[in-house]
Amino acid sequence: MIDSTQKEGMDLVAKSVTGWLKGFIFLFGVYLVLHSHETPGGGFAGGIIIACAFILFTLAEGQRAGMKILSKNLAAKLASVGALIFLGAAIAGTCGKGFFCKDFPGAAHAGILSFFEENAISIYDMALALVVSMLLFVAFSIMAAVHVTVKDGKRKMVHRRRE
Amino acid sequence: MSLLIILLVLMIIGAIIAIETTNLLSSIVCVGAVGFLISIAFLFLGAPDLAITQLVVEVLCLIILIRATINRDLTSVAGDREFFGLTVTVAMVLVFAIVGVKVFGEFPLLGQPVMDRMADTPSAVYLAQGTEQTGAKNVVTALMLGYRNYDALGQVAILFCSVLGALAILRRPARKEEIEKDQEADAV
Repeated sequence: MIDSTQKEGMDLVAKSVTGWLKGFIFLFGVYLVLHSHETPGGGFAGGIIIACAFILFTLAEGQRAGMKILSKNLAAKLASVGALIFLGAAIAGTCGKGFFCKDFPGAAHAGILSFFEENAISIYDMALALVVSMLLFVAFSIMAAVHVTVKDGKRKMVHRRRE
Repeated sequence: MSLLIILLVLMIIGAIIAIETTNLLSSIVCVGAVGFLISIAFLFLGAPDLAITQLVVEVLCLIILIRATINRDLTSVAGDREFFGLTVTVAMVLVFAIVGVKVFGEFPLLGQPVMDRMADTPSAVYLAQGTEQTGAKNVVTALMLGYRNYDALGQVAILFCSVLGALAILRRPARKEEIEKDQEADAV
């Protein structure tokens, strides 16, 4: 008698290796994002590696277990938050003196604004990583839930039925 | 430089195989091989940032494409080419080759920045003052998220649009009705 939880995902080896590796992959992605101002890497590469950690987990443990950790809707919302941070920074830069230079939203140099001013690049990088990782996870979950079949000589995309 | 030429030749071979093969899976693998070779080429040209990004994007694309194509009924694409399409293709390739040869004559040598022909160019200013003005030690990050931050904003917009398009095409309710309709048609 095969349990329904065992049928989901890949075999035991893949699950065990994923269990060991997923944290390290996630941590490496975060490291690339946070250290992008001094080492090669950046928001895009780090974000994709973070997405890869979630995708690896989803592939190994099955779609249901993966969606429990990070559902498609939550990922879409997080991506929107990241994009809004980025957009807000862009609007602030347009209204103020411009964030292209170190003077982040104008000439103010006190309190929280000075924090933003000092860490502007890191903030953009984190927002970018959030957007990229979550959007790619959404794209993956869309693509993984859909497959192509041939019907009447035409190729059609249909949703994978739940066995 | 000779290594770069070898890499380029391998890339072209991989791209041709990816187009010409009838097996969808091996086509995807060939595209992935081209991407990895590009990543190595970036590394030898001294662009580790680009190499990392290219490598990671390639891995993710391979995962998504293989996930979308593997163990499906559809493993091969067969198509016969029309004479008109082939003629147009050959003509376009010829035109682009002629224009390309003329354009490449105007290019500076590989590895020489175009903007350095003039004094006081943006790239020189970025390199000289980027670290101070943006506060990032890595000049690539300083450029990408400092001076060219609106580029990054545009990339985010492109990503959003592409995922929105995929969602709109593949969203669940519309497809579900279609499947049921198909099943009813099959039953009849």
